[in-house]
Amino acid sequence: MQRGGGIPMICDQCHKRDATIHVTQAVNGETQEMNLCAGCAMRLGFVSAGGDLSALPFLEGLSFPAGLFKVSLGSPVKGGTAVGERCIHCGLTFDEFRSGGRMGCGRCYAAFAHRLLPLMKRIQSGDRHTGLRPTGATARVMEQDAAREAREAREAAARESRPEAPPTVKSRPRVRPGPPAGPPQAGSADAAPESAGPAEPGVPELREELRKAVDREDYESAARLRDRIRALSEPADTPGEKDREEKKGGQAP
Amino acid sequence: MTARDTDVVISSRARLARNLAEFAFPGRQDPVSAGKVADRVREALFAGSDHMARAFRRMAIADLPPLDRSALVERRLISRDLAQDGPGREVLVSRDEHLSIMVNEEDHVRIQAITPGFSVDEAFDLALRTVRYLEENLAFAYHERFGYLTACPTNVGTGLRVSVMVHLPGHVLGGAIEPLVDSLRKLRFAVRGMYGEHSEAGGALYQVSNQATLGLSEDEIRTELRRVAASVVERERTLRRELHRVQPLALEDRVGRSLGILRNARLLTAEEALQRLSDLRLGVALGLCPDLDAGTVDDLVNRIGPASLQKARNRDLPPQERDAVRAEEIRTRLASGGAAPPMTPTAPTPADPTPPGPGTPPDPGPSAP
Ligand SMILES: [Zn+2]
Ligand SMILES: [Zn+2]
Repeated sequence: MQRGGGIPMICDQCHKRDATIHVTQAVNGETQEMNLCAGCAMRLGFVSAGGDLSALPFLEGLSFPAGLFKVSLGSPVKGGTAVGERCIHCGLTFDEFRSGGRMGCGRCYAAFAHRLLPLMKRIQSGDRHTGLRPTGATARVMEQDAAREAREAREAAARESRPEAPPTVKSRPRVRPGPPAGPPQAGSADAAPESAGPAEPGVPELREELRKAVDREDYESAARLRDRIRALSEPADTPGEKDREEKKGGQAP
Repeated sequence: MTARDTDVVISSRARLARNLAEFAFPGRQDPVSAGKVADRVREALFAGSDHMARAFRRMAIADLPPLDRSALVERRLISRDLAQDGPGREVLVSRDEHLSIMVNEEDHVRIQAITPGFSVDEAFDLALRTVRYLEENLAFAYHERFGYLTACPTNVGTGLRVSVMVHLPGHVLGGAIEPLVDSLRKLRFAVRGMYGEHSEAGGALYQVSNQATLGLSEDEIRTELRRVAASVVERERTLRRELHRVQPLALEDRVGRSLGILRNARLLTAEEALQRLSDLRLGVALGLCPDLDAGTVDDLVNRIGPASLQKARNRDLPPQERDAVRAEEIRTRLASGGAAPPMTPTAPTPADPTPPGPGTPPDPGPSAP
């Protein structure tokens, strides 16, 4: 969207909201690009990762030039994404679509979303479905998917709840090993020791609230929460550089 | 002017495209998956309801001889595309033939409802009830942003294509087809000749349909189509009246000649028959053929396609024999000078306004999840 101006993209992560943030990711010397909505950018930790990102565009419509953010990402990019312009579910490439005119499977739409939007604008009356909502089995499957996504997001948030943690973030360090899928434990984080009492919510609670705010696209609250989290967990110097260097080895497939 | 505007509108059609979320689209699925898709659709339609099993006839395309396939195409129950060989291809047709469900065409499921005259809402309701019935048990591919997902992005979103089949001899004779096509294209509506493009030879039969399926709701799509089609109907009537007013003799001569040929010819090509029947239909609408009605003409149009003719005779016919049989068929039905034309007791004419037979509208009630 930063090129050409005004071509909307869909978030590569949730495939729902408009992408307003472009992320360039260096993995094993290869450059991968991601377009994220403000919500997913927060969820994935781009927002709280380092002080230099504090100016991330929270509200839609803003964007940054490509290549500004060189961030390594711990969590893999999940389903419905195209790797090298290929649908990972049915194998269709975007070039094949262009020559044949047919999608290979339902996931192709999410995989090629940012290429399809300009096309839709041209051949359709809009690029957004405004018709009937799913019923029956379709609706049930969508609810299950949404629940799974929420669970994954919670887990991702839990993993990220210690940005200043040492390099091997994968397994939960120190305090207690605990079940990895469990909800964030109050008091398990350094910023909120048990003695502090319930009056002041700790970083994990704030992160949970932040996640909820992002889910309901309440970015104003999200921004406030982000600032509070940052204030609570502010390290002396910028952790961004350190994080980036250390996470480089353990990137996703 | 007439009920359901049958003087201009022959039939209305609604089509909904859907795909099963679990499988790749037909163009990219293996034969085993195609078979599974067909099984799922059949189960979803028939499970727990003898009623539905009685209301629908199932035909696997692979089991049908070429003639049967062509006859289904001529009756618009399946597309030309589905008639080709392909894995897992089936059609489920309601007994009254108002409803057909095509399986494994370009999309896994295409539900089509055809109702007589100007009855877009009726056709849409029928198609929607059917798709909802299936959706009780089938999870369709759906995306928050793009809606229901289809193999071709031109169908995505609502998956809805609504159309009316209209008879436009006034536009054809008045040279107004091209401007109509152009003006409707700007509104994202398509006008296509049913039998050949923009020519008299096509029997002046056209299909007007929506192009856009995304960015508009189903209600907006059919409201727009109704509005556009109504204006086409009005314009067609004006053009016909104008033609008759300006050149009454020429027009009456044309209708009379066609009637004479249809009643007396011994050989008629499909092309000529279509054009003559078009003249006749125009004559009926202008009150020039008091002993005929539009329904009889439409019924004939449906019966004189090559496959339908051969199917009725139950054998393959070489082209010239076909023309003879066609002429005979028409002659018989239009015979008996001024007397009322023989009504066909078997098939309902497209203009027959009787409601769909019992069981056609799928009743989502009995389907327990
Ligand atoms: Zn997102
Ligand atoms: Zn695909």
